[in-house]
Amino acid sequence: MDPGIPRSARPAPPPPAFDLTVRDTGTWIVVAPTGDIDIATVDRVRSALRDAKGDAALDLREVTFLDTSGLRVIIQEDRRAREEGRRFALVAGSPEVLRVLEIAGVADRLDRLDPADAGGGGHA
Amino acid sequence: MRAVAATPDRRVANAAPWLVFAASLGLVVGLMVLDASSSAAQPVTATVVLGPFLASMLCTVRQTAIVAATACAGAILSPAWTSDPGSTLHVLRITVVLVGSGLAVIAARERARSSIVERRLRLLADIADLTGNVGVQRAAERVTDLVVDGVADACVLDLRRDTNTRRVAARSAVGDADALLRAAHERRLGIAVGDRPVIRQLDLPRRDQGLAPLREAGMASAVMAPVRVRERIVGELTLANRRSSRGRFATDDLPFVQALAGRIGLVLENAGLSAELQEAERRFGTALDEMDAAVLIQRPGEGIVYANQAAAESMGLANPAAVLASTPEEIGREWESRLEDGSRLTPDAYPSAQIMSGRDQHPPAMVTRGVHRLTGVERWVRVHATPVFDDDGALQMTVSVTEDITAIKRAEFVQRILAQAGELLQGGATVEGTLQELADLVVPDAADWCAVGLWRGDAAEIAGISHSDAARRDAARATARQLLRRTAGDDGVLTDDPPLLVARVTDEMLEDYADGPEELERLRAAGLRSLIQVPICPPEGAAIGVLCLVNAESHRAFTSADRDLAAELGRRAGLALENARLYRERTRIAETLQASLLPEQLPDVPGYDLAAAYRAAGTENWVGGDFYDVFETPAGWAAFVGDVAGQGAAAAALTARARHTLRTVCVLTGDIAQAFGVLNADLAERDEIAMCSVCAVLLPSAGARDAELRVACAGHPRPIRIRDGATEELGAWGTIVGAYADTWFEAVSVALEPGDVLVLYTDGVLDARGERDRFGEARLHAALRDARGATDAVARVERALDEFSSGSQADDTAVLAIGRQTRDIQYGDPGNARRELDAVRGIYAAFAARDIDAAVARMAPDVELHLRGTQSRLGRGEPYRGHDGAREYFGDVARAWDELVLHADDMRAAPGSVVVFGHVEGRQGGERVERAVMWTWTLRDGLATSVRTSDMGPRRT
Repeated sequence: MDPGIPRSARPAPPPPAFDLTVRDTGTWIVVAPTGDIDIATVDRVRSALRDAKGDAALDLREVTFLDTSGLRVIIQEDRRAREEGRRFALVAGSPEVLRVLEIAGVADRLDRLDPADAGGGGHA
Repeated sequence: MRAVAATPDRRVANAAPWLVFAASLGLVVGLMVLDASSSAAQPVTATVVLGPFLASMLCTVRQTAIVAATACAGAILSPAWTSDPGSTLHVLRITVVLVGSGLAVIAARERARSSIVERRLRLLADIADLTGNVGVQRAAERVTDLVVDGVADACVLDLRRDTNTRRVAARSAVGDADALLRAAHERRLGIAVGDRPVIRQLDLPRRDQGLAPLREAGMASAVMAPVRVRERIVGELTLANRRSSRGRFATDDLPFVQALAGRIGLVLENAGLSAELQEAERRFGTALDEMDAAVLIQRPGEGIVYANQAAAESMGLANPAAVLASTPEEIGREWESRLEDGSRLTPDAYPSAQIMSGRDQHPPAMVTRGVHRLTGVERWVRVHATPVFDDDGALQMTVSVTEDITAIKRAEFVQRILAQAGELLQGGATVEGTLQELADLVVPDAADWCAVGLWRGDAAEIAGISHSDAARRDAARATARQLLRRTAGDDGVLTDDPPLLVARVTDEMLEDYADGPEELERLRAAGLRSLIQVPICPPEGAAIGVLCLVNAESHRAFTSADRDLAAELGRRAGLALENARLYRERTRIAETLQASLLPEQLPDVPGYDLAAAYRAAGTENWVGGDFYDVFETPAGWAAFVGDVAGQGAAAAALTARARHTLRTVCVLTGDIAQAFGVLNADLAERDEIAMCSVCAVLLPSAGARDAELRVACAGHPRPIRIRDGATEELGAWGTIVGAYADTWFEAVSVALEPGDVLVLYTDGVLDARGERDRFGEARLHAALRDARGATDAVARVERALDEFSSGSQADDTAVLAIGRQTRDIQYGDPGNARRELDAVRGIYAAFAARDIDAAVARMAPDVELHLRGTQSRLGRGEPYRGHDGAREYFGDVARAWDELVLHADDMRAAPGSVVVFGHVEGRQGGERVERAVMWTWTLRDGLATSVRTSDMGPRRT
């Protein structure tokens, strides 16, 4: 998932400040949060995804933590997209975040978007 | 400008010389007639000589000269008509007339000269008398009046060279004084005058333009002199004469004119100084009179010599005169005044008194709070006094300035009380306890006493009472009980009184209020003077209490500002009480709800030890979504740990539903996977997404030889099994319940052998936030490593979380540990054998925890431990004896083994003895020992008296 430096080799980061950007690649509306998605920040992710009218992707590359509230938003958006005939995909992030999806048993059910198609800086 | 008009008598005086002249002319003509007709000429001639002499006595020099000239002309022309022309007598007569006329003119001149000097002296004296507070303008006008009356035909005093005075006066006896005045004002009049007076003859060819107005006024000669005040030229004096009246000015007039100008300067200086002084006094007086601050001036020995209007008003008197008429003691009597520290104000505390008594020449300002005895008006004042000393350093007076700072004090006080009340009332759930403090806060500054009542029906429960005099507190409480009553309205509803302000409590009011004479007496005895009652009321809703402020001893009267303050306090208290009530209600609901999500206590599951821990997220979250449950199903005991995404009441409702569904399905079917399926169908149907991660285990019954248990996980961390101190995750991940309708769940089998512990936990454990990162799986495994038994496992997780966590946690956490007991089968009397089993089991647990004291506590003092395995490794032949021996054994184990684990797999008990089948695992360096062992315990009164080991050979699994 992380083509760059192994996570363990990175310097210990300070508690990351949450931020969120929305990109339009022409095909996808990419919602790219930075930092922890938890009960404090999940509402911003949810509303950004709700605002996306077309095919939407959630870029998890800069997400440092995902809890059940974030998981709930992902599944909710996935279900909503299916009902509305749109596409919803994840740009996979760190192993920790991926593990949350695996624990939830939904990792295989969610569509993936290749980072190359998601635009944005991604990682170094 | 003031016109100077000629007065009638002066006109008469001016006409007199012409009358004299006409009379002498008639006389001379008569003389000529007589001379012509009579021979007796001598008397007639003598009479002719009388004319000029008469004129010299009565008329001016000029007039006398005319009369004399006429007489001389008559005499010279007399040969024409006299009877004896050329005779000696005739010549004699002519000579007599000529000499007589000349003498008359000389006499007239002398008389005139003496009169001028006299007039001039009188003028100077008159001018010198012009003193007093007349002002510069008035003085100038009077000077010109006097000059014109005395020594000149016109006088102009132009003081415009003094920029301070800028005054002009002009006066003319004969011409147009107004024209001169105008000219002087317009600066058309006047020439440059140096230090000394100058004379100008106006009819000479040398014409100064600045003198034209004088010339136009008919003046022929003028003299001008500078006027000095304190060596400074402030203007000029101009005197002018007509030729026909006073004649030309001559050089010998100059000293007088200079003296006149000097004297005028002196007058002006006096007039100016006194006027300026007066003006300054007037201005100062006006300023003091109009000052808002009260000003009192006291002189030693004289008392109050000045008071302004503000001072009078502040003393409750009508005007300053009333203040001067009062003595300071009388004034003070109107007020009940106290210093800031509450002590009574004494007369010698005033700053002015301190100055007067010489105690302190620059005393600090004094702040007092006074209550007017008649009106009850409260007033804060700040008094500052300044001494005034004369040149010798003796105290002349003290000036006391008293500022009314009631408004400032009031604002400060209101702000302080509200701020303190705000702090007090933030007490959360315990706000009722702060009502007493609220009452204390109000007393004594805002009121003499204060009661806080909470309505209980139509009576108030006194929740706070404070009195400025602590000894009267109980009396105040009794009075408050009487005062704080509600009355039932017609509809039976208790009415809430609006804020009530009684500035002055009258006896009639008490009579109206009191219920019977006895109560009336009690109310009277309370000495109520002024009263405020405001409701304690939440923002919306009925009053829940009442705040009562009373003034009695201080005689203060409450104002509407006090009422507003009280009303604000009432509102704040109401809000705080309501918040506290809601807080408690919420807490109660949350606790009730939370309790419904968790079993009250874990059931006794045969063959297993259970332990659980639940910790809610931060206090603001109230009810979390984590739950666990343990119950019996047809297929064995089931245990769940789950987590509903979300928090608060909605999550709690969903949690209750999930728990109920899982339990119901399991109890009916004994199938945990099926329970997941039913819950999934239930949740996935909902429009709003509702998800539940859950992990369930189905335990084999205690007696079952096989160790298989079923585990199912749905979106949940897999359980961790601790076997021989090592941790391992078991089972398989499954899709979270509620996410997708098309999900299948299945349970897998895992082995749980006697001594194993299975730990189920929610992701709140993994997600717990520390200072730098989250707890995570690695820390959880580390915490659980070497855990012995369910209780130990849970305790270790809790301890690790406590050490790790930082700040308020976002998610709640639940941990459930299930330890499979080593088998113990009882023979004989189970009632008696239970005690032995417990003791032996306790010893193994204590050994596992290396808790020597717990182990020794279960051994008799004369215990004998025959533990050959350890003994033989250390070459020890003797058993370990007594409690000290037991401690020695623990020490030997630590020396002989890097690690030694005793597994009591199966216990068989009879009264007085327990046989344990099991095995030991030991490690020393690279050496590993694993042998089947049988322990034989003997016990007395529930305490072990001996144990012997029997090696059963290498362990077979």
